[in-house]
Amino acid sequence: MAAASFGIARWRLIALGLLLAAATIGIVLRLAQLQLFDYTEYRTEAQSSHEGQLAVQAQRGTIRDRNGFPLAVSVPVYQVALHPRAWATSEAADRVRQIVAARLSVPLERLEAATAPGRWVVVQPNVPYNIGRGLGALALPGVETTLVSMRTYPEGNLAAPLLGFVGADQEGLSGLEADFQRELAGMAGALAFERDGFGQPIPIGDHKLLRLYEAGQDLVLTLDRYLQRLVERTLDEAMTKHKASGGTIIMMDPRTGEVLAMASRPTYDLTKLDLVSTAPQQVAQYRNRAITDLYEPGSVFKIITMASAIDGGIVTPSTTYYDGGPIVRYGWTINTWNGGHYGTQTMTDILRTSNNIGAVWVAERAGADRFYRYVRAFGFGQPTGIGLSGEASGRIRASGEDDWKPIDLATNSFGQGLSVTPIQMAAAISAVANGGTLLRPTIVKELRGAQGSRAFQPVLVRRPLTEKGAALLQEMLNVTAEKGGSPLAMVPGYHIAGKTGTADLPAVGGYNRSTTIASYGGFAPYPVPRLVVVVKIDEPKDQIYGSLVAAPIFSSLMRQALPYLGIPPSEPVRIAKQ
Amino acid sequence: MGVAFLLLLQVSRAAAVGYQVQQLQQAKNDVERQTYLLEAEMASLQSLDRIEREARTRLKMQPAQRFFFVTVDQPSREGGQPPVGEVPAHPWWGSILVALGMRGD
Repeated sequence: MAAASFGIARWRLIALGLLLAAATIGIVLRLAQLQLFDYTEYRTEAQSSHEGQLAVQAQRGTIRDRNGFPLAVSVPVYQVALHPRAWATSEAADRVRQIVAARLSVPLERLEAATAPGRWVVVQPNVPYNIGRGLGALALPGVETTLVSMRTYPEGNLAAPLLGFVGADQEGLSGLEADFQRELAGMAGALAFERDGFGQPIPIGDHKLLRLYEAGQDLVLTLDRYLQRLVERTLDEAMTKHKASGGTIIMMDPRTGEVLAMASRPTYDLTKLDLVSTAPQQVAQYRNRAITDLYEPGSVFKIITMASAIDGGIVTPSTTYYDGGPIVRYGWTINTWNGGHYGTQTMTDILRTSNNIGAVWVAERAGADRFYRYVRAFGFGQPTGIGLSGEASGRIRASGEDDWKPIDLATNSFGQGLSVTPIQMAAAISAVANGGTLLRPTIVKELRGAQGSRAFQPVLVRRPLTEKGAALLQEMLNVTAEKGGSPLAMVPGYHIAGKTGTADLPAVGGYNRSTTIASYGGFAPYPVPRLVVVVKIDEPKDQIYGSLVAAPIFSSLMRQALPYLGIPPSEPVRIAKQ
Repeated sequence: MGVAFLLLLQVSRAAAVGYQVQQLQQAKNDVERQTYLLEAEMASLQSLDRIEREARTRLKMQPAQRFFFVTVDQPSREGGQPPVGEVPAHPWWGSILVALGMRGD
């Protein structure tokens, strides 16, 4: 009996021993799993419970004009929010609201209404830095002050479609702000710190800089704020005077391709942005029309037509042809813009009188292949590569392409039936002005950062015109501007060169003859051009011709811009009246 | 006992220095932000609209109506350097200091 009971007890001891051994092994294995295999996961979890992270926002870079004056700059501001649930009593709530209202200079009733639902609410988004900081220092219960950044525009609405804007998160949404987001934004830094039970940093705890912030780079543009303002004011005045639906003006340095001013209308107010509205009309205003919108250039394009023939010696300025009345091509009648006919005319006369029939004659002499080769060489039908998003290519149907028709050569010769962007036109006229070199238009001159700066040099695209051809064309355009039908383009004291344009607007099945795009493209001073100006006014109501609408704008801009740039008059001593 | 007191002192000192570093860091950040604000204020004071407003209202100025350009028959000097010999390199006492070796040339 005793032996049997001893046997049972022994068996129980062995079973208990095995159980304990299994439990020990289990615990050891579990510890090994926790400490060896899942170590990283648990360490991260433990760290996150007592370690806080703080994003160190990088200062967004400033956008400056060519002389360093800021056009868009970021400043620190505070966002003030209230937590009504943090107020224990209604007396405490009243006291906090009164202090906040006084500090922020907002009506007490507004705060009472905002906090009435009892939820967290932002009561003021862009509180000046010193006021926000002072309010935060009071450590009032239920008052949250958060340091954020705000974009401000010292020059107001200047160059709005070009600069673009940022969203509430300071990400660029349009224009240069979006195109150069990476460079302007820099990189936010990260700081890790040990925190106490209330989430506050422990002064003697560990502070680790996880990532050093990198301030955004400054964007230095080729724009000159004075010229930009001059161009915008002039464009606004012209829009009002002619009751136009839109317009664009570009000023360019033909020697470098640098855009000195670029303005387009309609536009929006940078200082009163409505980012909530997605109405198509509102969104359309954000476009930089100087690079995105296409138009039929009309007679300004005769410059290119003449270049295609004069460059290879197919015609000379004194070559003559006979203008004996309207001509018919492929079933279409082509006439002069005013119905006048001038008999024997030289090539210079064609430009001077802006003769459509003469332009057709020149294009036919050059031949379709040669004509379109020059059109392409001047950069039409392809983006200029200015570096702004949304740039349009233009629409050119060249000979040999499926949708090209023989009548296109005739209509294209006087700038109808094709479409270009204002920036393409400015670049092409600059090529004529600088002796035949097509330069890539540039809008960004330099990127300046803590690590140094990166300057952008003029980029030569190609040479569409020989130096001799350019000189001949310049001379013809000088005669056109000074002895042609646009005396309003004249600039006292300076010799100029240029060409007017009046284009019908395309409509379904043909053209709308009641409204036009009036334009002027030219340069000064001749024969050493320093400034190219392209003016385009959409649908002027009181006058329709480029010579009456756009030419005076060209004159007015040149009169003010040339002295500003320190360019002396063409005559040795001259008094120029403004 | 002495060792424990020393340790307490060190911990207390470390806490004080840590707090001081944090305060200095905050002050530095604040100065940086004040710099940004001053730069923005400078930009708004230099804005063309303000300059024109001040010129018209406070200084009673008007836009120029006439420009005079006069050609001078004297060629300009390269780089706009002052003419040699017209402006002395040093005032007379400066030359004495240079001669006495008390100032570099």
